[in-house]
Amino acid sequence: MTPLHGIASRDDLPLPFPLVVTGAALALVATFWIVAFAWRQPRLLNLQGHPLPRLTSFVDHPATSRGLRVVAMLLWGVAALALVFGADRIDNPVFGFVFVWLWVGLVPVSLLMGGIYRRANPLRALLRMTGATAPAPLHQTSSRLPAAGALLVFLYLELVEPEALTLPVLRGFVALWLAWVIGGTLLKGPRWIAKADPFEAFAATVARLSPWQRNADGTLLFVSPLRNLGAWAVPRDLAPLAAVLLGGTLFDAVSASAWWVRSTQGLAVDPRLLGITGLTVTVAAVYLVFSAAAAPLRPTGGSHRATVDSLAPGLLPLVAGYFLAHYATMLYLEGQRTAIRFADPLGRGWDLLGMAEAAPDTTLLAYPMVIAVGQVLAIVAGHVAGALVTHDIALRLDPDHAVRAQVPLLAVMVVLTVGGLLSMFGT
Amino acid sequence: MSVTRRVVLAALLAAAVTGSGCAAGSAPPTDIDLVVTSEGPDATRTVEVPLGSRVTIAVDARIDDILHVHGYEIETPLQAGGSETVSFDATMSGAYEVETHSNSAIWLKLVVR
Repeated sequence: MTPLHGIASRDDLPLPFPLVVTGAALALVATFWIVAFAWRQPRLLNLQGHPLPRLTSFVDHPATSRGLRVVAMLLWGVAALALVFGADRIDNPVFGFVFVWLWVGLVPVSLLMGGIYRRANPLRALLRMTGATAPAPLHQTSSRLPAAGALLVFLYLELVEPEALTLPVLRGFVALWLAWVIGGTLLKGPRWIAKADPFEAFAATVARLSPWQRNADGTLLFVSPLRNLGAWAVPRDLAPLAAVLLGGTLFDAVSASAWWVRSTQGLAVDPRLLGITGLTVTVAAVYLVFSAAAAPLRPTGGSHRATVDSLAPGLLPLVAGYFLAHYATMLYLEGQRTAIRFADPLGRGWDLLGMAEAAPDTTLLAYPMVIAVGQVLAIVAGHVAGALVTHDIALRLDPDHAVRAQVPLLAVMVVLTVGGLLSMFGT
Repeated sequence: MSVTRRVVLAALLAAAVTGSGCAAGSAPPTDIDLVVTSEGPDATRTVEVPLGSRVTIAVDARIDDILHVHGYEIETPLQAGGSETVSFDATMSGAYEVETHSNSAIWLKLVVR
């Protein structure tokens, strides 16, 4: 199987072993501390924070919403033009727009700015007539399974499809996505978008890790990200969604590893089939292991699925940490390259904004140790935050036995974290 | 944040930074010889490149093609029977593939640290 050539033009260096060991040790020590000494009454149940009425009036002002939508439609519009009328070459900016700006970019943007994706979602603007641009309801608990499925399809495009960086294939998948979201909304109403749009579901999930949340009367609060996660009235099927996100990032690492290349080389099987199998198996394995480890925390009379979903927020900091560790340098380098390529979106030799001859800033890449430390910090911080939230949720599910019943789940998270660190050490 | 924490953070940052990048020119140059054929290489050759090193790839081309250094985004046309030299400063750390477009053959993996 030939190595897939994604949009990434470079690979990060493997993490130095001492750093991997330090990170793993920190994660392990923190987890032991949580089991032994962390609080014994749930602390993160209630959404409390610092109210920000002036920020709320700024963010909710019609001019701000309109301005944001205009900027978003402009960006998406140019990308759409590049998709439909541009050149079928690797330097068409639409590839970077989809696989770098959108897919990777929405994580730091949502972490820093909360639920901004919903405001800027171009599909909601297009579907304005159906009421899609109304503010988000306080609780959205309907099933996220459609979005999980759509994300799996996107992950196939990103990680498996060998021809992903060609216009015909990308056009096909964009058409599928439009039909899925727009068609679904016309059939089932605007609430379908939050349930089914893969990018909005991903962004809304990551936004729960941000320090911004609204209280019952709509005022923005500045909250601790742990509390934001802990106080979440979790939507149904959050666990499959989290499993898809985590499994996808894991499979990205697995499929780039020497082990995978060796095992799949020379197999007389279509690489697409191999990739689909690998991706699905990884996602299913993450879900099944998480589900099994969550079983001891099921309250008597409670449903297993509801238990697993209520514990899923604990996985999300791991997802975010892992995602940032893997893709931050790609966002930095390829993100800039994509911006430069927007000087000539249709491949006609244009030079909009005089950017065509610009070179990306590469200063960060001259400090591999800073990058490595940042990657380990992201993964370890994600683990510690996830473990703390898991602990709090466990206390609510089973107040008497939570401390012991949560151990299998915390152990699974340690394995995922250490496994994640090791995967970034070996190639 | 207390003064002690500030000092500790600054020290950590300094340690991280000093244990890392160096300016171009202070590293020894890297010279690589490459013969580009239509069959492609038996295996991709991994070459360790010190960060900041001046890399020179001397290409002996047996086919018409384009040599692409990923990451640095350097593309050099090759002519059958001719030789080309690709030269650049390895100022970005990481692993970069060097390939030819006609057969998607990956000739080198430059590991810059």
